[in-house]
Amino acid sequence: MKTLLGLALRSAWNRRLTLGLTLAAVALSSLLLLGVERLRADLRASFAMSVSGVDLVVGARGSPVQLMLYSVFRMGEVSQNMSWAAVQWLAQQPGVAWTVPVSLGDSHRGYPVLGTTPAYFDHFRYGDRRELRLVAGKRFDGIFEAVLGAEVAERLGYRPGEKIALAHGSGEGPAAAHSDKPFVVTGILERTGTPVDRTVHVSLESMEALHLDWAGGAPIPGLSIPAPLVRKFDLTPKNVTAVFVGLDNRAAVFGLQRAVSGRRGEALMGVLPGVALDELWQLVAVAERYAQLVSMLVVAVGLTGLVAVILAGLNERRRELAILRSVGARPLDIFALLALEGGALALLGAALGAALVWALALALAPWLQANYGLTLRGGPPGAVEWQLLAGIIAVGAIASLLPGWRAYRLSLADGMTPRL
Amino acid sequence: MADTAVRLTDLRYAWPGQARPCLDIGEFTIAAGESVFVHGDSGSGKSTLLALLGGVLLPQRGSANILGTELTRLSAGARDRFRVDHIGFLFQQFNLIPYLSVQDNVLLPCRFSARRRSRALSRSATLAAEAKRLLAELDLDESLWRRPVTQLSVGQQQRVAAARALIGAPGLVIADEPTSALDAARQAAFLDLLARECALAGATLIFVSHDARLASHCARSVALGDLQRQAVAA
Repeated sequence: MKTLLGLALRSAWNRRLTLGLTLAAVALSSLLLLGVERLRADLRASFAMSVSGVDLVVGARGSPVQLMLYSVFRMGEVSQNMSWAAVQWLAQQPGVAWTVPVSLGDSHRGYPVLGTTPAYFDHFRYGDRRELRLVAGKRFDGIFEAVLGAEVAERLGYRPGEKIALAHGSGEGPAAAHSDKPFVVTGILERTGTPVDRTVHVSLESMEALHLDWAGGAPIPGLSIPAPLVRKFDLTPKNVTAVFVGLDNRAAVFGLQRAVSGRRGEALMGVLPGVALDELWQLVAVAERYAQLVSMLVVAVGLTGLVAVILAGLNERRRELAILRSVGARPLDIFALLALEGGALALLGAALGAALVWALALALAPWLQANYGLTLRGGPPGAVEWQLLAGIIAVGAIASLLPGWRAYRLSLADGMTPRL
Repeated sequence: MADTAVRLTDLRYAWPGQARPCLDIGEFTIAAGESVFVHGDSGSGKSTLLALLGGVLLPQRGSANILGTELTRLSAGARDRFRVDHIGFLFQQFNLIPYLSVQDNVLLPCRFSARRRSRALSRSATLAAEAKRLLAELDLDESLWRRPVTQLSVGQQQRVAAARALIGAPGLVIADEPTSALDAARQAAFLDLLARECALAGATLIFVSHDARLASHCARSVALGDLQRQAVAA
């Protein structure tokens, strides 16, 4: 066996260019399959850990998934708001422990701005019920004060005391600026690995003050209210995007949900974060399945190439195999020599693919975190990835029986004098 | 060791699907230590005879007794073991494994056969030393030992192959057209060397070729056609 292994290794090294390219094909196809799985699993984990402890998210009636996407994940555009009266009504419902209204729509250099109340910092939880914590400064107190997520502060190099200007609308591009009313950074949050890191938090009143001289998403021509004067106005918000609700008893959530959707005068809905996420995954599942199917096909192509290369090389190796037969190699040894080569290449390719996934996850994690607030898990493969790896190796090993079997047949037919 | 190296009796072999036998030999005996030239034209069944002597093929009828062992009674695996234990092979060309060094090519039989290994070690202190001794004996210059085998000339390659056939002192050396790729002068020199080395090692030499002129290098010469009992399939 040691002899065979040594021969297989040296024979493979002798054909290192073709085998190397084949190995690369298997490795890249494994990378695709494992990468798709890693991204899929991490996306779910990342979304699932973005919010916890919120029992109900209430907003204007529409798509529950969309409400979750923009209120929690800061993705997509806000289509409709809900009235301040509804926020006040909600807070008075029986069983409601706390409410945190949030208002979205503005941005700072591409980072979303979230208008909310100081209660946000008390009640919002992420991951395993973890609280938001400040690493520098303090919470916003008055108007035109901002608390930054870790990513915003780090990327833009902001420290407490810095003055920043917000812009109307989300996204980068040429958005109208609120540069006449700069904000002061008062605090910076600890890194959470969630969209909170990418968010600029301000008070609802600041948000209102920003838009005093705006109407319908544009500055009112000829009207400009200087910053020092805004305090003279009533800064109670007129509407918000959504309200996070916490309950005394989670069992009451369905009752409240019914009450919300049954409220007259304004079409509202209450969304259970878990349920909305499930709905989202159902939507995404089709695309996921296609991605998985395609990447599985690519792996099949890679492994087919592997077997084809070994089979194609077999004819040139008939002389070599005949010599081995003459010095005592059994047909079964010849079979093992070929099957071993294919199996080892599949194993090596899959391992290389897994290593590439690991390296790519390491390299891409900061970018995904910065741009999408998605946390990629580094480190060793997860359970499903191990299964996929085992699958690639098993299919590769089984497919390699074909060249092994063909070599076995050839060596039986050829004996020691190959008919070339 | 048995007195007879080879005894084929009433041996018949037909390739699958062919009615007429390719080989039909009444009696063919080679004494131990003899060197025999077997002459046969292409397609006369030379390769089949070698495959039968090596135990790669089994005759449909008759017996093939090699060095006192009846091959027809051995299992396929036992014949594979017997082959490497007792027979050294030498083919016409491309005799070496391209990705192994000169020394590893020579030592190949010792990797598969414990008997060849222990017999090689009874001659020299190490396997490497025995390989070198044989290579030196076969006039292969020491400067060539470290070269990739693909860079050796055909004649040099055949000497390496001869060293491989001889290592571990097999009782029988079978050479199948080992000189067909050499020019006439080198053919003679190589065959004399091979015959001398086999004699020194006490090995029986069977040398098969279509070229009757080479018969003079062996003590006895046999035509394959004369061995055949009846008209056989060409």
